[in-house]
Formats: sequence, structure tokens, C-alpha cells
Amino acid sequence: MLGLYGLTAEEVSLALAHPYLMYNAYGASKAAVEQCGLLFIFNENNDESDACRHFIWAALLIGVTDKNMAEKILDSHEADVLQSTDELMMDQKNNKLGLQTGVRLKSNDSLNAGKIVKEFLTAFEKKKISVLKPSLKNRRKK
Amino acid sequence: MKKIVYVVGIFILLGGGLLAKELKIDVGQTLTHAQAKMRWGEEKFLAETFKANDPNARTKMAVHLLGQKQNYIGKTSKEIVDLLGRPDGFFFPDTFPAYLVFKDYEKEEAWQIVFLLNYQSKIKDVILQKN
Repeated sequence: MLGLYGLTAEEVSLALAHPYLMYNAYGASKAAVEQCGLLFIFNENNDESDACRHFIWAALLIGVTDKNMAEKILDSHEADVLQSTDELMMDQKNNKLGLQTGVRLKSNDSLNAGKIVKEFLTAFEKKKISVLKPSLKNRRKK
Repeated sequence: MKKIVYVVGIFILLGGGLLAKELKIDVGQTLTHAQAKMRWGEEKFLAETFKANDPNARTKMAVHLLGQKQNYIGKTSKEIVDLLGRPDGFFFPDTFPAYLVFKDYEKEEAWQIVFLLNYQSKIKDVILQKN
């Protein structure tokens, strides 16, 4: 039944083993989409909005679980067989940056959506974010 | 004892219902084939043009595709990607193939064709959705 919601087989396995955690992870992914919708005009694939969603979701997961489990959740999502190697590498790099940011913010007791977005924008300005298909017109004006 | 079973049963049903409501896929604003045809018109689908990654060159073909959606139902995501190229749109959840077919930065308006999957990861519907 969970397949109805577009989960990968690996995500379904995790959801069966940890339903409450995966429900919270789902909520974090929705929150990431909403936050990135405030920064970018359109939601696209392989552009900055895509990078944003991965970075912010990964960081928010640190508020839901520990780093190892967050990595498992992110990896289970990347087990989408249709992704190309380039797309997978982009997502994994942005996930890793998001996780590192989440861990750092949590250790400073300042893990919240506002701080995560600020960290994403800093990483974005410093060109640390991985983007396959740059679309700078997509950024909302400040 | 019976009462406890009933109460627990009711809580499980309510909890399941709330969870299903929360996880229900929200497709947002959509256009029917007739509405899309009235707005943009339609032209025959050409795979090479569609794969060229220009959303505004895809618009009329997407309307045609929407009108022919029965031809796509039951196909796998891989078959869709083979036919239409790499998805460039985004739908939540992102395992559903989505293709931008209209984009206007000035009006901040974009539309995409989304292939909704069933539990067997086969196409169960095709929609034209506001990105």
C-alpha cells in the first residue's frame, strides 16, 4: 500500500520496520519542499530547487533521528532505479552537506528551519551546492 | 474486555484514517484535456522535440499526450523515460515522472505533465498539473 505514495522499495522496508520515524521523515520532506518553494519560483529536477530540497530535508532529518538513521533514510530514497548516475551523485552530495549542517546546528542547539535555510543560502553563495542544470532565473528576488 | 477491544479498534481505525489522509497525494491545481486544448491548442507528439528540454516547445504536444493518456496507462516509469527523456519537473513524491510543459517566469506560472504511479509502480493516470 505504501507504494501508492511513491516510495522506493527500500523506503517501504524502512517504513514497515520504523513506521513512526518514517512518518516524521515524510513530514520533514514536505517541510523541505515548502521551504524551498519560498526560495525558488518553480520546483524542478536537477536544478538549485532540487539541491535545496535535498539539503534541507537531510538537515531536518537530524531533528528527527540520529545521523546514521538519517543517512539510511536518505539512501533508501536514492534507491530509485530510474535515476542516472549524475543525478544520484548530485543528490548524495547535497544530502551529505545537509546532514553535516544538521549535525553542526544540533550540536549548537540551534537546529531549526530558519537556520537551515540560512546555511543552505551560504553554501549556495559559496558554490558548495551541487547542481546539474543551473537555472539562476528560478531564484526568487530577495 | 469487549469494550476495550472496541475502543482499541476505534483508535486504530481513526489513526489509520488520519495517516491515510495525511499521506494522500495532493495533486493541486490541474487542467483537463478540454481546458488545456482551449488555452493552448494541441499538436501531434514528436519524441525528439519533446526530449529537447524546452518546456514551451512541449506545451501543445503535452495537450495531445493528455488527450491520449490511455496509451500511457499501465506502462512503467522506465518506458516513460525512454519515450520522453529525463524528467525535468518535480512532483511530490519525486519518484513520479514529471515533465515541465509550460514555463513563464514573469507570471511565475509553470505546468507539468505528471505520470501518477500505482502500487506496482505502473502508470495509473496522467495529469496536467500546476508546478
